[in-house]
Amino acid sequence: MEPGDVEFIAEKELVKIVPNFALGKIYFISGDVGPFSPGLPVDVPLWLAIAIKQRQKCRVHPPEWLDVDKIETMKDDEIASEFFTELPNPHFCEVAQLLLTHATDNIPNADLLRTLIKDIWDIRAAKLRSNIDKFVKLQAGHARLDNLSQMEINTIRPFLTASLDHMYQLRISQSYTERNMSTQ
Amino acid sequence: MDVSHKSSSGMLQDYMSIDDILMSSERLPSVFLVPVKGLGFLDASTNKKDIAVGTKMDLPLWLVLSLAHPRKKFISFDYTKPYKGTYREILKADASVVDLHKIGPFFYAFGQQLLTLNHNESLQMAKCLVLTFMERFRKIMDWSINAYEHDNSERQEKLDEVERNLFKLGQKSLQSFQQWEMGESRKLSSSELVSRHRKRKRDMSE
Repeated sequence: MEPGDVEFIAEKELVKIVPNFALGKIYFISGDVGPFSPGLPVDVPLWLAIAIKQRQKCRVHPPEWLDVDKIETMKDDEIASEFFTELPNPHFCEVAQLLLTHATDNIPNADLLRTLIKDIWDIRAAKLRSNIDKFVKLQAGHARLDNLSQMEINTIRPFLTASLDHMYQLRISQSYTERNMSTQ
Repeated sequence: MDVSHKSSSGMLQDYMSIDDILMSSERLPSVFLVPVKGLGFLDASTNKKDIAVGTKMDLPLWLVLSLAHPRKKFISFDYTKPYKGTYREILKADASVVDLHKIGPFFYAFGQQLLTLNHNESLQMAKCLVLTFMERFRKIMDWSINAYEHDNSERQEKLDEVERNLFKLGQKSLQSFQQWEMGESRKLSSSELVSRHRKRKRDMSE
């Protein structure tokens, strides 16, 4: 999967906007998007919010977790904890990236947020790498990692599956040899 | 979705895979146990018409695999240097600094094929392959997922073919992530082939 595909799926997340136009209810296949009245907040999918924002017809209201203090607390939790902390949203990275690119004026301290989110990403990536290494060294049959976001899984997927395949081949040949030796 | 590139698949060889063909052309030192009439020309050191018992020759793997089958006993063979005791000790000491490409670009695949033949050192060699890969894995992962500098060809020199493929996969996912982050997946740009074509009238009119 490309990062663009993961972003496409992430755009289904709902976000609050405040439109400056009036429109009735829109009926989409995946659900209805409620009537728009100027000045009243309404929940829309992210792709729609960005489209309306680019036509300068709304103001995007950032989700509660996209706030400097909360992100800093998340970062401290991430550094302190050995495991992966729970992210406010399974599509954390993509939603944050999209909002920070398109709705910069509606989000306070956008640059600071960008740096903090990048830091969190780096910390989690390092944790992920050391966990994978532990997994390979123990030759374990399966592993469980909670609270990984979609984008992280997507970046690691091709490399991890290919190297685990190779590992499996080598172990199979080792057990084959052991069986052969014992029957002789 | 792209199909992942599969090089040699363990103990079975893929007939069509070029990597497998290249791999099985590597040679093993072997000793003939039976005389063979008429094939004396294969042995470059003598000019006899037949191959006598006890002639030592380096035979390619594909030949050894058919001749050294336990029931047939035409030749007896020995492992090449990288799969023997001394090299195994070196790999046990520190596997990540060994230049696996120089030893033989298909270290793991060749080793796995050797395991199909019976040899008294098979078990240690099998364990050695597993442990070597486990140790080198960390380095490969770290290098391929953090490829910001441009000396990647240097780092790739010490990896054998399988490891190089893994490296490329890691780099590819890193590059597509970086491009996405910079917003390039949003832009539509004309492909390189088209803009280099020089027959494009639009460029000439600008």
